[in-house]
Amino acid sequence: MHTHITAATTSSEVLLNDQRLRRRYRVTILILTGVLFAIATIGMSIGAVSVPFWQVWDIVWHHLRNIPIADELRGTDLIIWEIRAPRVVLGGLVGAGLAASGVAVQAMVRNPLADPYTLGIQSGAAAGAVAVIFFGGALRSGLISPAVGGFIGALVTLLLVFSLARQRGRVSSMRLLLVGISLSYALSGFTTFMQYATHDPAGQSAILFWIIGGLGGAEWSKIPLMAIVLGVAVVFIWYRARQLNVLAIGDESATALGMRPDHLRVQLFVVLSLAIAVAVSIVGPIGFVGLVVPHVTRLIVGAEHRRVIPLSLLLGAIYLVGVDVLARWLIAPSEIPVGVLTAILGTPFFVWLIRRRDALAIREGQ
Amino acid sequence: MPIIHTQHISLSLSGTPVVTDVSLEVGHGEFVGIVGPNGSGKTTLLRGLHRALKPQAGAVLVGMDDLWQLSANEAARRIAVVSQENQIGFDFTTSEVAAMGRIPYKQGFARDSDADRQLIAQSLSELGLAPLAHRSFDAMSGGERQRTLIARALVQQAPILLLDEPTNHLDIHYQLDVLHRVHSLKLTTIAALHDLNLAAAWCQRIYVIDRGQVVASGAPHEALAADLISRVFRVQATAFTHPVSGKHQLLFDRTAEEAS
Repeated sequence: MHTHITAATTSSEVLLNDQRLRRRYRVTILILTGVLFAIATIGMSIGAVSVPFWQVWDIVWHHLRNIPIADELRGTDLIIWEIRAPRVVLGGLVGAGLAASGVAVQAMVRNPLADPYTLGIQSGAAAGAVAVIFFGGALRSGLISPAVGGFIGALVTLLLVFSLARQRGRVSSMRLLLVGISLSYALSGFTTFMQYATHDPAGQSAILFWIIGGLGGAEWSKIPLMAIVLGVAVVFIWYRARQLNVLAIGDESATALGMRPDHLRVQLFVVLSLAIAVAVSIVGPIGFVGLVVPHVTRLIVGAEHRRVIPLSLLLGAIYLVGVDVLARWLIAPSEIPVGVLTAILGTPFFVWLIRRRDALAIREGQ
Repeated sequence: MPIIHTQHISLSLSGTPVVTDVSLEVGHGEFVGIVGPNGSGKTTLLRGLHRALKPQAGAVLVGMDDLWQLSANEAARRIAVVSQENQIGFDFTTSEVAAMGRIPYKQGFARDSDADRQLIAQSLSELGLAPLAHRSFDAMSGGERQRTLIARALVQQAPILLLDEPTNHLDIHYQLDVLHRVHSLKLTTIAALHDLNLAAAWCQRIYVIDRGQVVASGAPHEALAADLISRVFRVQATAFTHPVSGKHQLLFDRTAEEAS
């Protein structure tokens, strides 16, 4: 975004350019909000029974205003409101939450290649959930579901990463990164072993969900918890947006600017880990959103977190809802797990974007 | 009345004492240098002058207040630091880096006011960075990055400026350029410097640190006396007066025993 601005020579020209950038940012936000609504509409409209756009919003409107639905629309209403709408909302929430967590984790460990899963939480969740399925014989009483097992696994991992990364009361970026990544490998090994050792086909397909994730099980009852936890995490990192800028630079600068980088990292770690743990317990480890969306966001608005966080929320929601639409449509009436498609589609797009950015930079002589 | 002074401070890094019993004081508007061999503790001492490192013993006083009794934000409103962190890896623009100087004044969602934006733009233009305001910080030269960090310190509006080897990795033009610009800001400045002749040319007073202690202090010609420098830096130093500027300067050779 900033590369196209002509050189300013005086402070008033700097202010003018600032103003232009802010206007462009607001327009971007408006356009993307429109795109999100469009994608959500498409997401609710297409499927085995396709429903016209106007009818989709008519039904949603009736529910929002609590107006009874006409009898001849009962069937359509069931499809839109009970099946597709929660799925779109869940996808939007998870996409937005993972994207913003990715942004914050990258700043926190000071590495643009990190993502929410760098902290190892999703491996812990997967291992926990898969363990419940694997040892299910003993636990089939229904005492503990895989989702609860996933959440417990994530919490145990959180505590483990945190205590291993802590030294003399300090949590450094580098240690967090290394401990998170190495623990991920160990836990993935454990999960893979259980998958390998399971011979029951039902168990295998249940395990698969905890390895790739998906939005298939979306229903309204899952939304409130997800919305609250992700909401709290997003408000927290948005509130800290200015500080995230400096945290990404270094602890010396942060201290010099009156921050306590260790405290902030601990707070971020706890808030983000809990949010990620809840998200993964509900939809499984949907990959790549938390890596690709922060990068795309920065390509559009630069690194300033006060702009990156809101924009990444929008882009994350658009990306996951959009990919889920494709996942349901590509091999309809069957569907591809969304976690598979986020990576397959994300990678080429990501590489294309980076190459294009570099080509632009070279042309502009930077 | 010194604006910042330390009373017998001792500083440790991971339990190892690095600076022991250092007392220094800097008056309002003074430009003071800290010099010493590698590993002598200059950077550590500088970190002890803001809240990067808490002294094991002794106190740091800013005006009348103990540095560690102030809130972190209040300390940052009084002391700005240009540290050696100038590789970022995230694509911030010059103006975004300078804007970070407002952090000690802003809570949470508080937005930049027009006054903030004006201050940022003026600070950039004061350091000749207006044409680069919307360029990538990481893509700039070392001198430009250093000037950006000084602009950030200006945006911080602190009366005291600490500089950690501000001329590191710069060519001679930018070494002089950066020091000239800092000098003309008229702030109280304390700089850890590697280059003794730059210190002698720009500082009003100099502290020489060796093995964590002050071994000399005073005006450049007093603190940087040839025999002391020869001993501390293990070289053969010869003092002379610069023919044009009239400043105290030094020439170096290996010591007699090493040469033989």
